Amino acid sequence: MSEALGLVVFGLAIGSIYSLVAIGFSMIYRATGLVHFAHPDLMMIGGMIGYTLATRTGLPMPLLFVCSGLSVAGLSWLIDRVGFRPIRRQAALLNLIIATIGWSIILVNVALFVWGTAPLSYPQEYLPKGRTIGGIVIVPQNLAMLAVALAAMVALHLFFTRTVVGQALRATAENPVAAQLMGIRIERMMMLTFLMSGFLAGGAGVLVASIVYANFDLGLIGIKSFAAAVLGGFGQVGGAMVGGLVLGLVETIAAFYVSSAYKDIVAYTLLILILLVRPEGLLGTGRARRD
Amino acid sequence: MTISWRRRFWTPTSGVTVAALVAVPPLLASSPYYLFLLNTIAVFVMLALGLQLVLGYGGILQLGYAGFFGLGAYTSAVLTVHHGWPFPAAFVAAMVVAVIGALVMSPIVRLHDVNFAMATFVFGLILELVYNQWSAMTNGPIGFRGIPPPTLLGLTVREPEHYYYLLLAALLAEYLLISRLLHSPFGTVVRAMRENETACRTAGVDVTRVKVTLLLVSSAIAGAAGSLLAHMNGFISPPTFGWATSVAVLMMVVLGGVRSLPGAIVGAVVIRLVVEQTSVLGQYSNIVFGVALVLFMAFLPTGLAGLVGRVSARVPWAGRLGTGSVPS
Amino acid sequence: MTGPVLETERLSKRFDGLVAVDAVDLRIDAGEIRGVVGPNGAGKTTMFNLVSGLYRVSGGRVFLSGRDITQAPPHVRAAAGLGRTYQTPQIFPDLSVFDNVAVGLAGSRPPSLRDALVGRRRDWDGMRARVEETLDFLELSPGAAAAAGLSFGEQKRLEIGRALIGAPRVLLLDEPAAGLNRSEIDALAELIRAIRARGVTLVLIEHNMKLVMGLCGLITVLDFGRKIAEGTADEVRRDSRVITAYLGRTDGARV
Repeated sequence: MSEALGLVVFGLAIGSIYSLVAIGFSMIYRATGLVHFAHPDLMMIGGMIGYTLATRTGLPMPLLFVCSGLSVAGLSWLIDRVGFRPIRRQAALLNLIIATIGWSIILVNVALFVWGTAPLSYPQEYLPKGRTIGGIVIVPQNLAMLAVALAAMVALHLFFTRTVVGQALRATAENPVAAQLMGIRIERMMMLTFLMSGFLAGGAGVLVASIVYANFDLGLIGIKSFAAAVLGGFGQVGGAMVGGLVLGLVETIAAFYVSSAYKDIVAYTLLILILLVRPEGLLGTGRARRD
Repeated sequence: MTISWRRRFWTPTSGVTVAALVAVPPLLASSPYYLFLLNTIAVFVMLALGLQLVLGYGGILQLGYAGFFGLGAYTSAVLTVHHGWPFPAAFVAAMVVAVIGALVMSPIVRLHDVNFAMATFVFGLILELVYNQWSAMTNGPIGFRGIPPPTLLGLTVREPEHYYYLLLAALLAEYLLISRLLHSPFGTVVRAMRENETACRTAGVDVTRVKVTLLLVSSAIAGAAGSLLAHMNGFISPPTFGWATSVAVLMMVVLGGVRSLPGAIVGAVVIRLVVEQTSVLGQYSNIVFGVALVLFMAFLPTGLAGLVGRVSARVPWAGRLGTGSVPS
Repeated sequence: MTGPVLETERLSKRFDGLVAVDAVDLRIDAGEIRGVVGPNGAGKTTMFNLVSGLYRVSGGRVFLSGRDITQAPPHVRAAAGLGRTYQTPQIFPDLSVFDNVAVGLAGSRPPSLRDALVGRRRDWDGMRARVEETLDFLELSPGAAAAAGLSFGEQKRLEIGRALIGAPRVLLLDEPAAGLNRSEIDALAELIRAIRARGVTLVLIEHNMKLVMGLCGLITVLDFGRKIAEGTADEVRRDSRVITAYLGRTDGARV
């Protein structure tokens, strides 16, 4: 019994990593229509920055989270400002997406330069002894991830539905032209989106890197976040959360019962199957289009 | 911009181009490296044209293209090495398997815009994972060695020069195929769908069937290219058929300019050359590549073909992906 | 005695609690020019979307020449003889005038891969002739330039051409007169009569009452998604419910 519990907790923990990145990813799509392939690499940068801060300054974990989050938020905004804003109006969406791929390459290589190729472990203090449930080690970070992801989701939901700014953001995502006519400053909204999602990614990076390691290819984890976001319903913040958790659970269960090697295939295949049955994702509200 | 039904392929321009292409190997006979490079470029030109058809003309955001490339390569390799199939049969089988793969994926055509794109992306990931992990069949990350050179009509094609002609023939066949497709009523419908899918539906177009057809054709092309690559190099490994390659081919199409076949060719040549030459810059090559990508997207959205004015000024997909919204 | 060419039976559409179309019954016989009128937001275009298959019905059924098409996807309905145009002309801006209309053949002659690969030029001569004939009928010249360059009125005619080439039994026109000037509207009326003379039944959504009264034999009036009146121009004009519906709104139409 405790074995199943351990699996669930671990799966949720992994899932919440995906959720955090997926939420940011979904937000960006919701607000700007952009599929931001560099987003997972922002998470990676967050983890790297956290590493540097941890080794140089020894700040406690929560502060690391915040500092990294803020740094990456700034970076995310900068990338938008420099890379996307100037071209948003005339560039095709496909071009913007490819541009994000370009930024992904840039970020990965910058990390390579600054931090080198070897995986870097956070100092011992940051990885306290975890509890073992059913043969699986649960660390405080796992719970923190879960908590943060939940908090983020609730906060974002409230933000999008209850605050004026949040509703303005949604309006911008739905119909930029109309929003602009209504007096909503689109650029401001988008800047906010990039800041917020960057913060989440940066913080998530610290949590992940402290458990695993800090390395330039941490963004690969992020690829699964795409899957998570799609699974839950692209553009739905709640869906990103659910999608991430579900993916984490499926992956953990598959690793346990099938094999660690094939866990990814199982997870992805499940994703595609779910999409076939429910094309708009688990929580998605697709437009009423019939085919 | 109008494309009439059935244009002549053999014009003075195309005739000269083909003649020039045929004359290349003798000129380069002394440097096998360049011939090899040329052959590699040729394979990627095949891929770029295939993706141009489905993405550029069809507007279908196929992000997992390299996976089908791999299906063809591995099918051809396994059949010839493990089962002793002759090359022509393996080549055909490669295409068939790629098409089957596309058929399996085809139900996702119903998906909305981004979900569809992400589903193709995930499908590509799945295929790459399969190549890496199904060691019994694909030999895993180590790669598949010992793929024999193709034997056609009794002749074994070993020399790069001869392989060049094989590739050239395949390329010409592919170009003709795509050209015929586009210069037909089918092609008109494809281009119309890209502009206004809803109008097409109420005009009687079975949009799903057309999209699936495009997917199948482009996958067959990728499969063929995969087979040709496998037998050319004698060795294949999973990274060649993953996201990085999908991105590279994507860039070729965008660089060349969407909706331009010659553009895709130029794009393929340029990107492939860049990839080959990046070693020159050493460590900095990747960053330069990334920066170049960003700059290029910013300043040349319609690609090289747009520069030449061959592509209309209307930028595709300004705004959301897809045109499936219902006018109310 | 054949049945109606287009019929809806308690056709309804709900959007998350908002009832856009409420149990509308329609019977349109062959050869009619039916007008569908009503204040803005009455659900007219939504009803067209239901009939042409762009929306799933929340209730009720749709019949085309007696055949139940309620579950059929849009392209099947088009192939069965249902054509439509939109409030804002949904043309293909980058395609030529010829190509725009040619797409309309997809219902009767589905574009096939094999046809594209193996087909010869002359196999398509028949199609080409039909396109040219339709363009001629609509007084549009083929040309190679992109359709985006056409005037608004020409674009509307182009869209009608695309719908017409499929030889539909019923043609749904959504506000065909919107945005046209006086003489264009007169030409439109002529065109509509000419189309009817070819054996096509027409259903028009229109706000231009003069046009509707002059062209249509019967008029159906919708308000808040419900049918509130139906009859000849005179009957409808005098119907108190219709008057209330229009006077009670700030965006009534010219009568």
